[in-house]
Amino acid sequence: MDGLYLIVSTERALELVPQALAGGIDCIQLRHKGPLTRAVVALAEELLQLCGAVPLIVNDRVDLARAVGAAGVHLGQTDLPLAEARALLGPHAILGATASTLEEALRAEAEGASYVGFGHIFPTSTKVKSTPPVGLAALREVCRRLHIPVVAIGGIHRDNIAAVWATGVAAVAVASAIGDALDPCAETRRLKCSAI
Amino acid sequence: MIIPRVMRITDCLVSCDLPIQLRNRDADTRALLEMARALRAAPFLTINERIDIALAVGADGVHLPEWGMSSQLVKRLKASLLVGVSVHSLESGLRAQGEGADYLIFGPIFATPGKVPCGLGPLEQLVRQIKIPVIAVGGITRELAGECLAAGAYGVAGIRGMDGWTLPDR
Repeated sequence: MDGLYLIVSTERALELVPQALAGGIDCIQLRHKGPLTRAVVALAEELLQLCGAVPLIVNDRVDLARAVGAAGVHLGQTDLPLAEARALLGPHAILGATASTLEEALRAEAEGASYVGFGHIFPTSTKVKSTPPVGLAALREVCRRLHIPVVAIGGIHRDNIAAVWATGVAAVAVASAIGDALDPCAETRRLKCSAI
Repeated sequence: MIIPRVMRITDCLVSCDLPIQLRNRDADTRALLEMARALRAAPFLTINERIDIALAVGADGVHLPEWGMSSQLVKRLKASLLVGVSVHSLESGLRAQGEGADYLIFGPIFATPGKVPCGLGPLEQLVRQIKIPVIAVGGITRELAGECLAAGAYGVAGIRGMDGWTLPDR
């Protein structure tokens, strides 16, 4: 789990994923709200084909991940517990866990997460948040304390990403930075280049 | 596992006396998991749409919406899961049957809040052409349950009532 990680909704996946892949995206997380229709299953299968060697991770829905053979799932604090997801997906699945404090991050690691998505780092408009942003100092601390990869998430875009890479994160996750870009392919490339 | 003939549809914790279909589209996954665990004591437990929850708690089955994933695919995830499918037309019923559903739920037969009832006629037409059990749903009272059975339904499902119902043999 390293590099640039795109979070994309089922509504926009077919439009954005090919462009992000062309720009060199390293991981895709597919988010779906609402019931699992056969159309969503078909979409996930199509994305899996498009992604090739790039891991496709499904948000929350372990059943969708297992049905299509996705690389793994990303689990929030109100999703299935890591142990249940591991039991359903097997030892090789990538299990990501959301954490917004060091304690949650350490617990996720202890419970068998493959990586921790830590944030939100900056204010973000993608999701309504009840807590303030965690900031870069907390991110640096989490990166220092964890042995598994840390993926920074929340409010990261071209103007602040360099400071995020500098904390030692394994990966940076974005949604609107690519989704709202005029040229998602070029933006993917640009965000990745800022890592050097 | 035998397909139950009286099934309670619930979105929350209820007594575990009856076979239960847990259907809650608003609860988050963790809350739904806890509910499903608590309802596991029911004589039969099926989970609406959430195959992940059904697998995690070892439920007896899953219940799929009309346009949910195919029963075939669900059974690839766990062959022993009993798969029910909600259908609203003969066409959907035939498709669900062809895809390996174990039973259908068809309705609303009678008046129920916010929905237009279809009456017993379409139920009769459906069961004539469907080989798997058809469970009637929608505004069914104890008295109307008998009419559904007479029309060929295998059983009944609903949100209200149902305590102590015993259906006559078919």
